[in-house]
Amino acid sequence: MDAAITTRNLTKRFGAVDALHGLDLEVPKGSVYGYLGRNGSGKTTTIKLLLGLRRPTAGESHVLGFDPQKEPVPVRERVGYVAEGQKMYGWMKVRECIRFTSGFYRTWDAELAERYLQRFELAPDARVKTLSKGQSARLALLLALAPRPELLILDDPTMGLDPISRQEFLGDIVRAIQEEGRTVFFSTHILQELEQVADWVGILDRGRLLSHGPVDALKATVKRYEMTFEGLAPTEIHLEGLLRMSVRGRDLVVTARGNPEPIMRQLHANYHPIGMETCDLSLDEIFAEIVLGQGETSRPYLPLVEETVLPGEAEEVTDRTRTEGGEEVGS
Amino acid sequence: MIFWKEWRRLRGRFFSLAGFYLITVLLTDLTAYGNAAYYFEGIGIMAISWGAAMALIPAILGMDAWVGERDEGTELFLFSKPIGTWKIWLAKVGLRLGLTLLLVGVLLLLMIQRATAEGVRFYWGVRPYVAWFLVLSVFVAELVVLMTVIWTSLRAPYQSTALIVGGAAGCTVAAWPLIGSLHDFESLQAQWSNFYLLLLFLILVSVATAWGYARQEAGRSAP
Repeated sequence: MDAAITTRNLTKRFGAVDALHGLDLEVPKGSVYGYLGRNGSGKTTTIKLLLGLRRPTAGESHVLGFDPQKEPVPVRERVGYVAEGQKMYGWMKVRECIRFTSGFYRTWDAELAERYLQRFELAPDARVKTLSKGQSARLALLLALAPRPELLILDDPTMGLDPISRQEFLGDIVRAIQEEGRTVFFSTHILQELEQVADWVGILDRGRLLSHGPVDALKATVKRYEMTFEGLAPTEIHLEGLLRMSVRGRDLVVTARGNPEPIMRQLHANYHPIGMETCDLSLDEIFAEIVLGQGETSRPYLPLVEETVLPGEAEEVTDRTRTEGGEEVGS
Repeated sequence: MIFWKEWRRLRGRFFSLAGFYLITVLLTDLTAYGNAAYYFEGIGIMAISWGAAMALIPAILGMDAWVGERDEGTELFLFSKPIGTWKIWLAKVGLRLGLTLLLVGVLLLLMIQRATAEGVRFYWGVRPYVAWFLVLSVFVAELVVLMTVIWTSLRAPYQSTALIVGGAAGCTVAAWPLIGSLHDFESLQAQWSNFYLLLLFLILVSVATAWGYARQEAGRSAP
């Protein structure tokens, strides 16, 4: 696989905090790679390391064949970068901001910049500080796209945008991807937007990469199995690839990662449910299951706690809130 | 492009300072018109205000070179561009240094020219004044570098501290023989001591600031 980004054991510590721990990443050229994680999971740290803006504690990385620590300038020449809530010089006019940025790139395409300026409906004489968040995001995208980068890195670019601006901004990104066929590394914590554009996905949590691969493969392997039993459902399950489970009376809901056929056979053979249904999950749900299920997968089985069912909620299967060291980690 | 951006940021302050000192020179000219004796007093006043400029100009032009980027939130925008950090540093410091020396130099020349035009006789010739200009320029240069470099501590506290101390010492040592050849400052030993005490004070302040900001930065560096 020809990779645009590779990292090997990439680690970054801030004092006692492990921001990134042994990251092994491979982003194929030409892919739209969704880099998922909750706030503070290490997404921005990864991106800063890839751009040579921070030094790793350990490990190495290559971006388009260059080592960002040793050759940051060639990396940044080839990469378009939109930071989370990117701040530009507010006192500059839009046209000045474009002119200022163009001076750094030999590959700057002035015609393309002009086209984006019109398409994004940005007033050239408007001060950057007067732009709305949506307009600022679009200007940042214009500045990232006009040098015709081989790789576009977007760090939560829609953060803080309203739903309509977010949708429009995503449309802009999709069009830019379609027109150029470039590699896009898209970091976000809003899953719905990623599902529209990504073909590869990496899931990061607390500095560790939990899952990595094509979106379709992930969707084909992470499933929810809803089972009904004659008597009470078992409270312990022994299953390879088990992510999470919840039980309510005769019903047992299991989420597992792996080939669905063998999993279903295993569940039938070992636990004898009277009914079983396999459900596809959205990327949003897969993300939640993997992140919330992490740490449990290495154990052979999960301890279960009977869920309290309130009147009127009988039909609703809800996930259980787990706690870790007394601190709530998800629901 | 960095020069252009920095010039856009500084030009308002630069022209304000230039205007302020130009007005001071003109006022001296007006009040001492036709009276060389008064002009000496005017020169004295100028020297005081000029001395103030030594501290004021570097402070006004230099202080927000780096922290301004942090305040505006543009640090990431700037540093993610394909340009070496040292070039950004050089542009920021170089322009501030150039503008400060230009302002101070033009002021000195203007003062000498106006004084000469008013018939003021320079009993020791112009050499001591030029020597003093060089002394003050070195001091100003060090101040500009200090005021500007302090903020690089955000990224590399130890290197920038070394740069501050090394730069200031190097600047002084390099200029010393030239200054000494122009004028004998034997009678001004006390001033030199003060000068070095002040320089030491500035270095200590900048090192303390660098340390403080480095700590603050470490606190901010969570992922």
